[in-house]
Amino acid sequence: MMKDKMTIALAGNPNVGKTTIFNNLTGTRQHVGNWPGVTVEKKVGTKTYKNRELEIVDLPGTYSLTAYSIDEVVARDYIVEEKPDVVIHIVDATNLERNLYLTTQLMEHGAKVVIALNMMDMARERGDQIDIDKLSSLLEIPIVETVGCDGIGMDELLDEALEEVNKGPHHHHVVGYGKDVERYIGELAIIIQKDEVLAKKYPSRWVAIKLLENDEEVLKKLKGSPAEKEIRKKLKAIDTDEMEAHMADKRYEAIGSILPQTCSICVPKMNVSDMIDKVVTNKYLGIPIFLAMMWGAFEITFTFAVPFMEIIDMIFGGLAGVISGMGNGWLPSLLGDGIIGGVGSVLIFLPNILILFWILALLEDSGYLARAAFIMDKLMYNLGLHGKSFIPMLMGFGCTVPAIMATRSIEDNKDRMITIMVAPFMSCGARLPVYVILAGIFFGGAAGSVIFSLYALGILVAILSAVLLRKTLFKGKPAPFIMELPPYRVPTLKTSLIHMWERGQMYLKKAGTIIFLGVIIIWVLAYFPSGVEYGSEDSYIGMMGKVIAPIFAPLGFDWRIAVALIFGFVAKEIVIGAMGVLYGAGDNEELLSDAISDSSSSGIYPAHALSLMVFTLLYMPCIAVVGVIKKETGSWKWTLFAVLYSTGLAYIAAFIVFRIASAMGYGG
Amino acid sequence: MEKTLATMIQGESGTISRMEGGDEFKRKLRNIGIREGKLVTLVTKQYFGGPIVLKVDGRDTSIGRGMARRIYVDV
Repeated sequence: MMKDKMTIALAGNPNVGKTTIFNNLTGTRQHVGNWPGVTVEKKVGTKTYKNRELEIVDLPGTYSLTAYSIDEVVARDYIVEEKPDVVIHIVDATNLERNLYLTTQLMEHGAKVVIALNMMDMARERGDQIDIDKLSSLLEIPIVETVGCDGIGMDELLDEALEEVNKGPHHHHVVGYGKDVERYIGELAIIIQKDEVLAKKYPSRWVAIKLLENDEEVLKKLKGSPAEKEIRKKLKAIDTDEMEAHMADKRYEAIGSILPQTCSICVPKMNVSDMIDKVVTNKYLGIPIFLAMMWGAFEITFTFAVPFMEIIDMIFGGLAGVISGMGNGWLPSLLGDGIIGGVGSVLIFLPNILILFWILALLEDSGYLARAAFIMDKLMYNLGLHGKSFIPMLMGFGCTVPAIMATRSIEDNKDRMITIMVAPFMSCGARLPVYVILAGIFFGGAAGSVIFSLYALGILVAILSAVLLRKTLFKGKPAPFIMELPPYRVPTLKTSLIHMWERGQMYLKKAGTIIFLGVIIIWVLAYFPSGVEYGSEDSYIGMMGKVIAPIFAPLGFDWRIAVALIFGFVAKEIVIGAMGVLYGAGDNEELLSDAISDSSSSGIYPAHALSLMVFTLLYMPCIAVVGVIKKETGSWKWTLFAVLYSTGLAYIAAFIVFRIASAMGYGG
Repeated sequence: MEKTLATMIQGESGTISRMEGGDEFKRKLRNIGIREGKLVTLVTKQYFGGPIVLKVDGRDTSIGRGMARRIYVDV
């Protein structure tokens, strides 16, 4: 049998489980979380089903086909411009009215729609009774009951989608807008027909409705159309004020006439979510609870990781012992100084990374993340940031790349730009190894507090930068805050562990690729020209270091740290990896921590360590982040600004810290 | 009695009578199901004029205090 290719788009309101269903259908593991705006980009997957090649596209959530933020535009454009063969509209069964609002718009647009009535288990649990057959016949849309997280209803969904495509074009049930408005729609539609290109691409009734609603994107499409003049003339003659409100009312009216016939007890009572919210979003307790949770998260990250780190340390120590038994020469040096010294210094932090990401996954899956944005909104607003900026910033504790991607759900461009510029100051997981090792060596029992202070410093710098940017480059007020708060869900151990492992895998992959490569290059530069003492000032890297060292001297850094920081641009873990290669010189059994703990030989005293940690926290983001900043801002100018601003700030801050600490007698 | 969402007290319910503001403001609210004739409950208010949480159809939505002042409710 011949294979036909067809495209299926998954659309729906934010946080209804589109990505969960996408993962079920395609067998991929795209990131899911319990807050609106997890998916900000369309994701494409393929599946062969009943001899058909299916291209399944997961779209960001949207409330309507009129789009505001970038993620919504992505969803709308795909449906309107790319025209998938069929749209699977994922509807949250526990919130039918608002979800069906998008359905009415999809129907109006003429797309072929199959509804996946998702979260049916939750609807039943709270006592809703939905007559699916009746709902389906009233909407004239096939409906399949699904439970995304258990993978129920997936095959049925695809069967319906295939059948819908094979049906060929058919009449869609449409919302009637009343005599007067219908007349306008009819008249406009006739004029639109005159523009063949436009009329062929979009249903003319839909274009007419959007024009009456003053939809900017559709108005733009008129540009250069032969019918433009006539349409604009017509629109001028119509009083479009309140038209949109009228249309929204009519759509809700249509939904309102369907719902009571199909759903009984669809109005929920006070539930567990409300009770939790009474406490965590309480006006007095909200912020203290949030801070306590953050502090707890860091405490757990550090204390729980210790025994695991010791195990990894022992393994590498043993390996180093074996290698040092191989005698002298370039190979033992490469293996011992280079790979174990470099990659080992980074790998030892895997437990911290896993725990940190596990906690972030729990926060995401529970639904607390959206509450945190709410709690912080006022504070953020006063600082010139938008409440929604808080989610990207919190995600920045994990990795800056997804944090910057997450800014797509911020509607106002200035709000978004400011968030992109300050997000890198939130200390990401890659910087953690630098703190753990330096604070651990030089501050002993106070290491936890030092690390916590660094995170706090990052937040402070982000905040002050936001205030500064708002007062200078991005003048204005943050846009008003609207955000849906998802219901709480008990995070499952399985999903949170999967999240954790995905991040862990990425870390391992990074250690095995970029960092591995980086440390080998550093080792080569440190070992050659042949005959020189390894890692000495006569090696290539030593010569390089000598050139750039004066720049960093005021911060207390010698040439080895200067080199490590330069290579740290590739990935911040390399700062530690490079130091492992350069300081591990001499005795193979010594890992980095032992090598630098002896201040008299390493030249690193507490003041130097502090200065280095502050510099690592603030200086230019890694190459992956620079790439994503360029992509998201679309501007080299702003990308360069982000790099120079952060590096300049890092230099000043590290200088101040070093001078103060030295003056206090911590400089050796 | 007509109040705004901002002057309602925690736990109070009422029906939205009107919303004042620009097209985009109203469109955004309608898209997420907040519109005239809907029964709303004020869930919480943050201190110092921070955002509020309101409940419509069993769903919590958080909006800024400025917006809340422009949504009128019959209590």
